[in-house]
Amino acid sequence: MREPHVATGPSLAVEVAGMRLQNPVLSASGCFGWGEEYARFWDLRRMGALVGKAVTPHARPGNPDVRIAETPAGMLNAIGLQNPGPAAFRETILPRVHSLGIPIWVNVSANSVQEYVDLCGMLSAEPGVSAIELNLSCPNVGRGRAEFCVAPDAVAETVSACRPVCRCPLIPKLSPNTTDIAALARAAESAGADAVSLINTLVGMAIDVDRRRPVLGNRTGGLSGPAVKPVALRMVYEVVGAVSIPVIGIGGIACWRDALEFLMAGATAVQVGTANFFNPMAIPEILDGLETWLRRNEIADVREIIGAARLEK
Amino acid sequence: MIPILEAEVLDHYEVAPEHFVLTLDAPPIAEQARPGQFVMLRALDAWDPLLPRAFSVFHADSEGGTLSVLYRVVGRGTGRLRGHEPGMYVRAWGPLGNQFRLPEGERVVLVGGGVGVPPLVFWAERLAALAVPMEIVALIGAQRGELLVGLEQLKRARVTFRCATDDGSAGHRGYVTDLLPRTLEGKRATVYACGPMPMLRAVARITEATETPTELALEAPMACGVGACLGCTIPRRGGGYARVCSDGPVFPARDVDWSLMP
Ligand SMILES: Cc1cc2nc3c(=O)[nH]c(=O)nc-3n(C[C@H](O)[C@H](O)[C@H](O)COP(=O)(O)OP(=O)(O)OC[C@H]3O[C@@H](n4cnc5c(N)ncnc54)[C@H](O)[C@@H]3O)c2cc1C
Ligand SMILES: Cc1cc2nc3c(=O)[nH]c(=O)nc-3n(C[C@H](O)[C@H](O)[C@H](O)COP(=O)(O)O)c2cc1C
Ligand code: FES
Repeated sequence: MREPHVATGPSLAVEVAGMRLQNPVLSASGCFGWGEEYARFWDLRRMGALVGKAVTPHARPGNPDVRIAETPAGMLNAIGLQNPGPAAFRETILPRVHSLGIPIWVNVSANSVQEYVDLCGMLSAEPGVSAIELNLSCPNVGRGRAEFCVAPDAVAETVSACRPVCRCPLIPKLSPNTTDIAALARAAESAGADAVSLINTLVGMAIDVDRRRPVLGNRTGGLSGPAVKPVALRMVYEVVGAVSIPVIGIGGIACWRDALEFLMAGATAVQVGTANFFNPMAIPEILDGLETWLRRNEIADVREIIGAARLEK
Repeated sequence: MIPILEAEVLDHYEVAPEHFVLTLDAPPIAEQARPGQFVMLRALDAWDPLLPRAFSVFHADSEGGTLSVLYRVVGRGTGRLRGHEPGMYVRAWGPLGNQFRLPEGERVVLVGGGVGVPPLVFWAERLAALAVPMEIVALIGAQRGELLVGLEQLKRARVTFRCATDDGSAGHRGYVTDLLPRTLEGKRATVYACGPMPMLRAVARITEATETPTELALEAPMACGVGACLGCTIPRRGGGYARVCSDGPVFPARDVDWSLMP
């Protein structure tokens, strides 16, 4: 028998790696600043957690020249991990976002295992940091890295080195620029990851035919937005079947229907990236839509639909 | 809070070949808009193009609640915008970015090229309405005479203007910046400029030599328009990058590292 309808509405709360999130809708790294920009449009206390821009071992000015290019239903970016570095992050940015009163996930990005370990050590015990998302997949910062993060043994090595020093949940973020993303996820899980998030951007390119040269100063960039959603969804579906830790779905989510697709594929939560750019209200609109859908379908708890579309069940 | 709304198109007409003025019913934006600021516009439910486009505020009537932009059809975003008849809606958010700062000296010189003219017209109107006596001179450039825009509004605001066209079909034949050195003579002036990058570079070179305070309203490819994506940066003199959308779009000319500009 169905529970009588609760006046307070359906529960949107989920649990990821021991953390209770009031709802499963988060921002994606690099697509939400540190929240301030969107706090001018809506009350950020509505979101499940805020995932901020990558922090690297040292301040990075970012890439010169053209950094973004629009493509059909998507965009390419080669921002180059512009950020003020861990010390400035800790002193000036973190206290400010901590005061928002929502869980903060810090996305870290580095060039070597040791640097990842150092960043985890430096940031994971800071007050206000709920989780560390290991960006094992930024395609825009030099050739060595792209190879570094698409091999399962490199993922395993990085995650197992970070695990002992990381004082909060550790969530590797996986690259889609690989032939077998389930293998990356399994490597992360067996090395001690608390959850995995995916996907980061797909490496792509655009050419300016008038100037006869690549549009982006960096030549290549990461593809994101609605164009990548089917690929991301397939990868999430596959990874959910391959691991037993929670999976955070990312890629092209622009409306509540998209979010629902990822949840039904088995994602415990989702992150919204590029959609914030073309609709600053994307996250609250997705939350409203999810709630309405649950209510209309008389589902009291969002967790009931996680994995609902999986065929093996 | 920054207003974001589905704004009704009230008026949409061609002012010059391929140049349109779009007027929206957008009271909360119109009320807050200041010269130099811009709005993001996007067709409802469209994924081609995906990203919104930035447009400088051309006119804001806070009493009537209307907001106008002036644009040239060049590509997918503006091509789509052009199809919006009165009664249709666009998604609009803003005003975004900073604004022009008040001038120093006794003369204000506005240098505008192409679709860089709209924010300067709005600024000229607001400056002309101030009770402070100052001389305002606008230098307006375009490829051909028929593409000169904003002149009627300048006339109505009683702002003196001079024109330049590439082909000489109206005013000076050549660059609008050719007219600048003479206009700076005699009085202490402040320069405001908006237009194509080569024009801005020329303005910056001229006014740096004369030590004339100069503000430039810049453009860059944008995704978010609010400071979140770091996609719209320009090199800052002294190192690092500034976001055009949220640190600008108005910058003192001396803050830009011209040696690294594309
Ligand atoms: C702060 C700011 C204020 C702006 N204000 C205005 C304004 O008041 N009026 C206005 O018309 N535009 C303005 N723009 C430019 C506007 O946002 C769009 O970039 C421009 O209209 C082209 O968009 P599109 O989608 O039509 O062209 P796209 O499809 O993006 O581009 C098509 C082609 O046109 C080229 N192109 C892009 N922009 C321009 C341009 N400005 N001139 C010539 N070719 C171009 C591209 O390189 C591409 O090859 C402003 C931009 C910024 C950042
Ligand atoms: C402009 C931009 C900057 C990004 N920066 C980061 C980053 O710093 N770290 C990271 O892990 N992912 C970064 N990403 C990837 C996104 O977090 C996300 O994984 C990807 O864009 C796919 O989601 P979307 O289609 O919803 O944008 C960035 C994406 C964009 C578009
Ligand atoms: S357009 Fe996104 S930071 Fe300026």
